[in-house]
Amino acid sequence: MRLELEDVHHVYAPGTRFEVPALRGVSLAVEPGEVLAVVGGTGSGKSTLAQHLNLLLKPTRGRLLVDGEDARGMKLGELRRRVGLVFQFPEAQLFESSVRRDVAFAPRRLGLGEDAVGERVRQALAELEISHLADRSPFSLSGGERRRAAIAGVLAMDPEVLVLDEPTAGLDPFARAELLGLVRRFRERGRSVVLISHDLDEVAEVADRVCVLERGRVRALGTPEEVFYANPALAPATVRVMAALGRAEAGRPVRFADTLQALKELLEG
Amino acid sequence: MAPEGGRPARGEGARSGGLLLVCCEGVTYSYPGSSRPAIDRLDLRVSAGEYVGVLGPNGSGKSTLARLLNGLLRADSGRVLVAGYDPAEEPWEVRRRLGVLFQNPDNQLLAPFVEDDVAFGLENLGVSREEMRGRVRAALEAVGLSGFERREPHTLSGGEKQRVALAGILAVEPEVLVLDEPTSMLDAAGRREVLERISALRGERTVVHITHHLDEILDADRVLILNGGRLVAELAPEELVREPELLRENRLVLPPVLRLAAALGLGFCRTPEELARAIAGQRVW
Repeated sequence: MRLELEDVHHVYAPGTRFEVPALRGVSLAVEPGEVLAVVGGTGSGKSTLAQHLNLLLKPTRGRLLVDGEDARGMKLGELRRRVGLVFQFPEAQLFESSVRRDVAFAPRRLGLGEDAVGERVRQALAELEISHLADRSPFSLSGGERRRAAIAGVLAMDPEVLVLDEPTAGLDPFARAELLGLVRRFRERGRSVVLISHDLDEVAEVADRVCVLERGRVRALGTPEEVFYANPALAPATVRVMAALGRAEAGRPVRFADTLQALKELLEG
Repeated sequence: MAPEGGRPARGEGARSGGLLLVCCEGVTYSYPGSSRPAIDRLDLRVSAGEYVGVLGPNGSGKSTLARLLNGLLRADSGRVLVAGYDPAEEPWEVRRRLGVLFQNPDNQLLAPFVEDDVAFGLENLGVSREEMRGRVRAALEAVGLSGFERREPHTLSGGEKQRVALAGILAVEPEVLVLDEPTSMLDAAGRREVLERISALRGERTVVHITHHLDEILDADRVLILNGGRLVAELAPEELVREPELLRENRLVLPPVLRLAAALGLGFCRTPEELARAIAGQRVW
C-alpha cells in the first residue's frame, strides 16, 4: 500500500481567533515496505501529519492518496483498518479488564468470528512479546508493558501501514530497543512504518528515509545520510562524531555499527 | 581532593560529611493492591551541594521515590527525612525546602499568565507582594525566560513550558531540587534548553536528577541505580562504562558516543566533539 499526501494544509479552529495553521503544504509519500521517520520540534506538525494518514484529521486543503486514488472515495473504516495509527502515550486508552480483551476489542468490531479474533490476538501478543501478560489487567503492568499492549491492539487489526507517534517516549532504553525490533520485523514483512520521533539516535538505526518538518512544512526529505549530513547540528550522535572529525575518506555512516566500522578503519588505516 | 576543571570535586559534600539534606532509611512502599513493593528497604543519603543522578528501568521505583520525598506518598515502613522533616507529616515544611519537577509540563502549568504560574508556589509562604515580584523575576531570569511574565503558558514550546515549571520551583528557593525525568516529553531543542538550565544550577542547589537518559547525568557527582525498588549500585559516572554486566542487569544502555568510545578503547567521552578529539589524538593525518 502506498500513501501519499499531496499539498496538504491543515488549520486548527479556522475562522476563529484561535486559528492555528499546523500544516502548510506538505507533500510526501510513504512507499510500501519502507520505514519513513518524521522528525521535528514541538509544534512542527508531526502529530497533525500522522493523523492525516488515516483521515482522522481531514486536510483543510490538499488530499490523501491511497495507491493513487483519492482516499475520500474509500470507506473510512476500511482506511483505518489498513492504516493503523498508534497515538502518543496510547496506554492511556487501555480500558478492558485484561490485556487479551483489550487487544480483542478492535478486531471483534471488524465482524470477525471468535476464532479469527482469538488468532489475531494471539499473533499480536506474540509479535510484541507479551503473550505471558494476556490475562493480566492492563493497569497492573509496567509502563513499557502497557505501551506494548496498546500497540498490540492496533496490530491486531492487521494493518498494512503502521503509524507510530513517539512510540518510545518515556520508555527505558531496553524497552525502546524492543520497540525498534518490532518496527524492523514489520518492515521485513513488506509493510511500511511511519515513525514519528524526536530521538534522532533511534531514527538513525531504523529509518530508510527521513522527513524533517518545521513549522508545518517539509524542511528536508531523503535518506538518513542525505538529511543528517546536510545539517549535522540536527543529527544523531554518530553523524555528529563524523562531522566533528571531518575526515571525508571515512565516508558518511549513520547507523551505529557502520560508524564503528568506519572509525575502526580510520584508526587502523 | 583537588577540584577537577574548576568544578566542585565529585562527592565532596558526601565525603566531607556535608549537611545531610535527604535521608531514607529502610524505606518500603507498596501501591495499594500491589503485591510487590515499589520501593523496597531503600537507604539513601544526599548531602548539601551534591548532584546525584538516579537511573533505573521502567517500574524500578524512581518516580515513587520522588513522590515519597515530597510527601505525596507516605512510606509503609522506614524513615524519610528532608532537611530534618518527615514529608508525610509536615509536607508544607518539606515542600518549601524540596521542589519536584515532573515529566509533563502540561500538568504543572495552571495559571493564565507565566508570572502567575511562577508565583503560584509562593502564595502559601507568606511572601510580600514586593518580594514575590522580585523572586518571580529572578526565577525567570535563571531559566532564561526574562520578559515572558505576561505570556500565556499554552502558547509556549515544550522546552519553554518546562522551564516555566522549573522557575516556579526555583521561586520557592528550595534547598533540594528533584527532577523526575524532566526531559522525557521534550523535543531535542527543548531538552537541550532544560539541561543547560539544570547544569547551571550545579553547585548552587542540591539536585537529585532521575532519568532514563544516561547521557544527562554524566556530570553527576555520583549515580544511583534503582531496580525493583532497591538501590542496586552507587558509582561515579565514569565507572559505568566499565560495568557492562551491571548495565545489562538493570536494562541500561550507554549512549552512542560512550559506546563508540568504549568499542574503540578510547575511555570516557561525554560528547561527539570529545570523542572526535580523542580519535584525532590517536592518529597523525
